[in-house]
Amino acid sequence: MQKPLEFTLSVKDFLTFLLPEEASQVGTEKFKQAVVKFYAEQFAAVGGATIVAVDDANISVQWIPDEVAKNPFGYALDLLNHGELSEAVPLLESFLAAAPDDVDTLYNLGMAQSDLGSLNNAIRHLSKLVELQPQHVNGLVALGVAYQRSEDSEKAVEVLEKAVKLDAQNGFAHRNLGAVLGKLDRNDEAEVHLRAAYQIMPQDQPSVYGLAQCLDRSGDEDKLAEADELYLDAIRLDQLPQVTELARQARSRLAQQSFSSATPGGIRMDAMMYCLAALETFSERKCEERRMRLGYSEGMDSIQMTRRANTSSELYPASILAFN
Amino acid sequence: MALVSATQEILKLVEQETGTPVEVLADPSIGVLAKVRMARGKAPAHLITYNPTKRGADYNIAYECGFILRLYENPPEARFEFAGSESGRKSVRRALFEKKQIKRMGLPETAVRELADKMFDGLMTQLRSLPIGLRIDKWLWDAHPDLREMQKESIMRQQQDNVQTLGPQISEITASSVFFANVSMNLAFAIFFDRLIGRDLYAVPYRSAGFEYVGERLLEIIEDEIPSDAQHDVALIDAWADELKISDWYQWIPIKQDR
Repeated sequence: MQKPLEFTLSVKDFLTFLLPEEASQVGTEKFKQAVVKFYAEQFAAVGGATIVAVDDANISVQWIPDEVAKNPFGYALDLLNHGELSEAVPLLESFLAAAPDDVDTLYNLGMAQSDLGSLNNAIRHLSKLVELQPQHVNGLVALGVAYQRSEDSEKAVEVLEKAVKLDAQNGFAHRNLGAVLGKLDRNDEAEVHLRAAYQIMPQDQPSVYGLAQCLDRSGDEDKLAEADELYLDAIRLDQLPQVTELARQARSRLAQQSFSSATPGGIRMDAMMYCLAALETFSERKCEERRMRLGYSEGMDSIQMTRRANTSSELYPASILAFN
Repeated sequence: MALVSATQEILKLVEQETGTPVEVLADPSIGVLAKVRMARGKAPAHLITYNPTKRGADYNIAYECGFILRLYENPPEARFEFAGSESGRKSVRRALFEKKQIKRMGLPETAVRELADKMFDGLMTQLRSLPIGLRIDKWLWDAHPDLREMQKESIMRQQQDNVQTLGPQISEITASSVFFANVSMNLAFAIFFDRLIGRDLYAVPYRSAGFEYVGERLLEIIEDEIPSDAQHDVALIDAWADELKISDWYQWIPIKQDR
């Protein structure tokens, strides 16, 4: 998609001989009008819209291509979908100034600000959204995550529970509620929600990993075996490299625990299988890495949010998970 | 991340032509779109590092491959490394200390020196990369239409970033020689891209600020004066530097052959 072009010049830097002689006196009305006309003419051939503002010090020019001018909100969403949050936020703020109660703008702006760490603004906008539309489940989920990010777990649980109550089939609501409860050491309650999330979205890697982690924490022998299976599934799904890596590390830790608890002189076959699998994976990865080495961050961001494409009914089903 | 087939082909080509493997590494912490470290000494492979948080990774990787290919099109004895000179660095420092706005800001001497060094290093990177980069962009545009959308997208973004240097405060806190050279090269890039996409768009801001002549002149050098083969890459950079009056700001050092 063609992108807008924006720039600012000092009036001192503008080449006045490009203007008619009678308009060449900087700072005069004629000068200002001539500058506006100059840029409008320059960009006329490429279509789109040109906005020029001239004051005594600066000339600000914004050229907006046709496809953006026709659908500015679509452009902002495109930016969000490509992770260009800092660029999208000012655009969304300008939409909000024009339509302060627009729920789609409030939702997307709140989500972007939450991702950028502007948590007070995110909470303000998302709170307004759920005030205007109390049934907006994804808005509640996003608000819950923003609260969790600002370390207000109580509020996060309150809002996420409301989301789950409103829509028991919303996997993201369960997933995030489970993650927050896990952080609060309410593991049994967390497990209920993470199981629900897994049931609703069995192919969602963060849900699979989140449940595995919860079961892993329980320390229960049977649950550990299930956790290991789930970690393996998370590795197979391989949607987010960081999650895949964390799942690998978790499996390796479980394997070490199994080894150390093995009876003296005997070799536990399940632990042996982990090692073989790890070796196989290692050799596969070595080949792969020759072409492509992916950088893994040292630790996971505590909360991760992904977005989906715009649909007619909702903009971004909040897909959020708090990792412990 | 899976690379598109055009990028894979280009990576293969680099391996074939240089007889050296290429490693591609994603690193969100690098400040640039991508960078390349060519195999040398203890580094047995060419290493291309790209920023996965930026769009158009395939194009950025392919672009870096272009630099490797062009260097290896030269015989080993004609491969050179580009290095900024001390005299150039000092000249930028001096110029920056003289800027009224910098004096007014009352910055400590070390801060001004650091700022000057950043400007100098940035400009040297631009001089080293851009003229050859335009050759590479033309090659990718013509030979790899599959990458074209990504290429357009990435260059549009760069154009938007570049035009910010025309902003009111920038020239006041930049050594004049650096500012002139930087904006002139940006304009050459803008005209080049406008011609590539058949629109007169990105050069407009520079033209209205009076930079048209030198930008056109830099493009004339690239399009009409210096042959486009890789054997003339050094001459191309020298010709641009000459036009920008920064010929003594760098030197060419023969690359030691250890392979």
